[in-house]
Amino acid sequence: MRIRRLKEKIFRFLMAASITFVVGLFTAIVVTVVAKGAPAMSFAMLFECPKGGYYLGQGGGVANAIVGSLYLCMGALLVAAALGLPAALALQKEYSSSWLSRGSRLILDILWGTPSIVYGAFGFVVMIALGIRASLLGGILTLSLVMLPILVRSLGEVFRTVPLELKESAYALGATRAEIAVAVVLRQCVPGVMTALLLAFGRGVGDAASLLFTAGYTDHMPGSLTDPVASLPLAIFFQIATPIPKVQARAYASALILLILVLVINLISRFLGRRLSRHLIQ
Amino acid sequence: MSHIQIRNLSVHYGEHQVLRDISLEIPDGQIVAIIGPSGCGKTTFLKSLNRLLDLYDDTRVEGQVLVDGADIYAPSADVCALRKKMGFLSQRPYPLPMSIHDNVAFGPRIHGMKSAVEDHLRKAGLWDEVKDRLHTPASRLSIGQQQRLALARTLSVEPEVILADEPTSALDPQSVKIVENQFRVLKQDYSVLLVTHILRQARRLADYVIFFYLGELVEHGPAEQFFLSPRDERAQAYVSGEIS
Repeated sequence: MRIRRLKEKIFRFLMAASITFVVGLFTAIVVTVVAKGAPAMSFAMLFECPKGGYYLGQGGGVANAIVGSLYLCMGALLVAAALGLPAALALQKEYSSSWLSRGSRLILDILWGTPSIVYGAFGFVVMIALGIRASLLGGILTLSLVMLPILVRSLGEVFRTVPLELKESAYALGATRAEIAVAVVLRQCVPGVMTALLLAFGRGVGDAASLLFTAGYTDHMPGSLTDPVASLPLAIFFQIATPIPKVQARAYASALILLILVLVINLISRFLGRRLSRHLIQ
Repeated sequence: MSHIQIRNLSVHYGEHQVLRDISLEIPDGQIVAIIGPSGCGKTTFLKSLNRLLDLYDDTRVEGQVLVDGADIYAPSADVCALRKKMGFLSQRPYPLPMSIHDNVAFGPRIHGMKSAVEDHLRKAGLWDEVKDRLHTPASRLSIGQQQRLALARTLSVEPEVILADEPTSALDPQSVKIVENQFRVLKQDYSVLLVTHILRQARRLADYVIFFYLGELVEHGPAEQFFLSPRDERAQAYVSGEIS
C-alpha cells in the first residue's frame, strides 16, 4: 500500500515538474520577446514601410512585412483549404481503401516533418521552370505546399471523430456520400476544421525558409501577385542579423507583432467556430 | 405477395457467420417483432434489409432480399432509393447536426420532395413540444424527444416500411410509452419491423413474431400463437424466460 502511494506521489511530482518546465519555457520566450520588443514598438513600426537606412537604425517600420505576411498566409490558406478539404474528405473510409488512406497518411506525415527550406527549394525550381520570379504568387503557392500536409492530416483526424452512427442516420434517409460529407461531416466538424486551419496558418505565418527564394523581400507594400513581397519571419531574420542594437530591438518588436497577429487570428477563429457550432451533436 | 421476401440470406462478419440461411416472408401492415437473445443477429438482420451493412468493413452477404420483387443486392439496385423506402430508426437517436426543423426537412430536400415538417412532427408525437423552437439545435432535446425527432425524420422521406432497432432501449419509461403508442398508430400506414430484446414490449406491440437464436431463424408466426404455444423448445425456453 505504501509503495502504491509512493508511486502515486512520484508520478504526480513528475507531471507537475514537466508541466512547470514546459509552461516556464514558453513564458520565458514570450517574456523575452515582450521585454526586448516593447521598447522598440511604435506607431511607425506598425504603420510605416522601411525608409532609407532603416536597417541602419533610421526611421520607418515593418508594415510591408505585416501586410505581406497576411497576404501570403491568407492566400496560401485559401489554396491549401481548396485542395486539402476535398483531399481529406476523399481519404475517409467511404471513399478510399484502407491501404490508400494508410499510405497517404504515411506520406503526409513525412511531408509534415520535411524542413520548409526543402519546399522553398522545390518551389524555386518549379518557378524557374515556369519562368516566374520571386513574387507574392510564388510565395502563396509554396507556402500552401508547406501547409497542406498538416491541414490534410489534421482534417483527416477530425473527420474520423464523426460517430459512424451519426453518418448511419443520414445514410438511412437515402443520402449520398457527398450529401453526408457536406451536410453532416463538415457541419459536425466545424470546430475541428477551425483548429486544423489554425494549425496550418500557424505553421505558415511563422515560416521563413520557404519564402526566402519564392516570395523574395521588398521594402514596399505588395502591389500585385507578380511583385516580390515581404514577410514578418524574414523581417525578423534580416533585422536580428544586423550588429546594430536598435535594429535588433526592432526584430524583437517584429516578433511581438507576429505573436499578437497569431493571437488575434486565434481568437477570431475560436469566436467564429463557436458561432458555427451550435448544432453539434455531442 | 408481401413487400419483403428473404431467400437464403446469410451474413458473415469476416470469418464469423452472423446469419444462417434465412428464408422468410415479412407480412405487410403489421408490427413484426424480431426477438431473440442478444448477439443472435437481430440487428444484423434489420440492417441487411436496407443495406446499412454496406457501411461495415469485411461484411459478406449471400442470398437474396426481395423488396417489391427486386433483389436489393443486385448490382443494379439503387441503394439510396432503397433506404428511402425502408425507413430506419436506430437504438440511440442521433439527430443530424442542424436545427429541429432542418432534421425533418433534410431528407425531403435531398430527394427533391416537398417537405411537410409539421405533419411528420405531429405523426411522431413531437409537434406540441417543439413548435415554438423549430430553429433551435436538435441536440438540445432530451433523448426521448430526440428519438421521436428521429422518427419524424424517418417518416419525412415517406418510407413504406419502418425498420426500428430497439428504438426504446435508451429511453425513459414515459418516452417509451409515447413511442410505443406512435408505433400502434403508424402500423395503419406502414409495415413496422421492430427489433426488441424486451419480451414484454413484443407482447404489447407485435402482431407477428420472428425469433432468432444464434443466427438462425428458429420460429416465426402470428404473435398470439407464438407467445401462447411456441413450437420450438428454444422458443419455449426464451418465452418462459429460461434463456434471455
